[in-house]
Amino acid sequence: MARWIGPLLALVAVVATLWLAATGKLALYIHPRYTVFAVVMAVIGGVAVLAGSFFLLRKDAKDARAAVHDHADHDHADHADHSDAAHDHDHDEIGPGLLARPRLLRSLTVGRVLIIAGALVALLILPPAALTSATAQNRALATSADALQAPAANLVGTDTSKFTVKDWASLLRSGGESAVAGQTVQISGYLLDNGDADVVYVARLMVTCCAVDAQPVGVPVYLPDWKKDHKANSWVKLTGRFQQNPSGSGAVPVVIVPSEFAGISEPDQPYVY
Amino acid sequence: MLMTTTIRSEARARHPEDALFERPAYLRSVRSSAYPSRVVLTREPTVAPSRRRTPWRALVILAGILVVLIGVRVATPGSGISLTDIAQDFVTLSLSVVIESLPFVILGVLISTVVQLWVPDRWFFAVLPRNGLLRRGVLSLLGVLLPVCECGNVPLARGLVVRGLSVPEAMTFLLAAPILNPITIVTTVQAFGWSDGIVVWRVLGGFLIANAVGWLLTRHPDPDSLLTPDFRAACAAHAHDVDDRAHRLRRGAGMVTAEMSAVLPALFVGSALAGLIQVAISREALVALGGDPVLSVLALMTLAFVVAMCSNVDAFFVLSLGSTFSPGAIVAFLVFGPMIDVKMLALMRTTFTARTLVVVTAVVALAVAALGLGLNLAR
Repeated sequence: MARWIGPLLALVAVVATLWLAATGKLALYIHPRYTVFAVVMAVIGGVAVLAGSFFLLRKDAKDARAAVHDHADHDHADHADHSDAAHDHDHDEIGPGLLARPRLLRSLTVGRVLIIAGALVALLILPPAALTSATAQNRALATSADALQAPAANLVGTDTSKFTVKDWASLLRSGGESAVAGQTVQISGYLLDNGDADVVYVARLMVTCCAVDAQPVGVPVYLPDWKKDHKANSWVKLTGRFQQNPSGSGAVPVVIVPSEFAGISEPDQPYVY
Repeated sequence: MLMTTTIRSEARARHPEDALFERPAYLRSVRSSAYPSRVVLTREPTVAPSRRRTPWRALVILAGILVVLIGVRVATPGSGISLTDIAQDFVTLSLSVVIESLPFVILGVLISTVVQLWVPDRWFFAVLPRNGLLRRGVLSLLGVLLPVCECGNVPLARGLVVRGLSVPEAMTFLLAAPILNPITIVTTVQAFGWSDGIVVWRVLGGFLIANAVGWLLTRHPDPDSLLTPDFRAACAAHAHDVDDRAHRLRRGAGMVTAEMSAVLPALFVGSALAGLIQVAISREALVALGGDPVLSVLALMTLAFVVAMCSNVDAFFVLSLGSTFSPGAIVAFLVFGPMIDVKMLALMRTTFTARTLVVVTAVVALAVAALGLGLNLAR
């Protein structure tokens, strides 16, 4: 068991990674820039583990036969202070410290079974899923100018029809109101409550490395008394134009005033990168 | 029929190279010299017929496992299982840590195996200075050559200890390498530029703290006792065959599986813990402390411990948190996170005793807190 947990976990994770990559869902967990690296290492790791397991299986089969045909002069159960006793322990990943503690050894075995079962269920049985917006709700909106500044320089003067929530947020942060005022916007995202009755944020989770670091980015949308008709965290798509905030609130000077606004179901790829 | 197999197997047994061939590689040097007769004994003619089938049986078992795993995944692509939001997010967060770390762990295991089997001693130890202080200094720069993320460094450090590196040296390498590597430095510069000295303090602080901890561990009367008994036994066993150069590919494959068995369970447990803490603790509570010169340092250190993020990208993560943190807090996050976090502790526990990890964690935490607070006060 102790020897097989590594190969088993590795194969489970490798199969899951390759399947996610093949179905295009790897990006639900990690940034797309790691896709190639993850796939290449999964293939190499899978091959190495299969080769190692192959030799391990053959050795086991041979040992089993040797045990049948062995004579009393080399008893494998004898863990006396013999040079190959240490070798066998090492190979079984069971050291002398553990052999002296059978109860600990048993609970370790139970633990290993649980880890494998958990890995199987989580990686191979449960359907892949993005982070829910509920968790995202407890994460503050990324408002730091620095976070969004870097790519914004390339955004000015480019085709805005393909702009994502993140692109608009970057432009708004770095260029200020003058950079976006009057521009037509076509975006989708989920509704993020930022404590304003008339302005709601249309946001998406921004992933820098993996889903663990997901952080909402969003742009303000003018939607008077929005809580009456919409629920926070529901997904919407909208077309609109950046304008001066009609509600006159000083906190959010520029907002998108939508001309079309509709609820949608969560897209296959809910993050931005 | 019986006749032919008997002859064939005896012919095999007489061939000295073949008699060794079937032995697990690491037993070979010991057995072949100490018990030559036994090697031949296990090649009894009666064994021969089933031996010829063995490779096929092993292949069938492996192919069967692979088909079952792929089958299970393909059969349940969008199965109607729906969890509550919290349970779902726990699974998603844990899996994202696993999937993100796995390639680095595989790379670390492979590099560790290559270092153990293919790098000759004379290269490896000749370049290292004899003087302990200098030696640890050089080792903490090893990350420049091997820019593997911190989780990949654990299998590598284990391999280096097997090769004869001392415990303080391995610990210095483990703590320093994730920070002192080109990818980490470049991403930190991209994120923060050279303003506020964040990059300089991250690199310098990481180097100094890692070496201070390394020096502290040399003060221990018996540094080897800082290793888990099982890993010590594994080191002792491997010591025999360091210079055995035969069948390295096969031995390498065996080492890879053995190392996976040591490291992967820890990775899964560590990732599950990281996922669990993330859904349990409100991140906003920590981030809200951003501006306070003292509390922000402690808050971001806690966050670094909890999020268990790769050092290569954590600089972007702090930036995206959306709060103006004091520079001291950012440096504390960037130095503490790569050295110690939930996932790293689980991984390091495969090698070091719990007591060692408690002491190292406490020392690193105090040193990083001092660094962060010092930077904030000096402003």
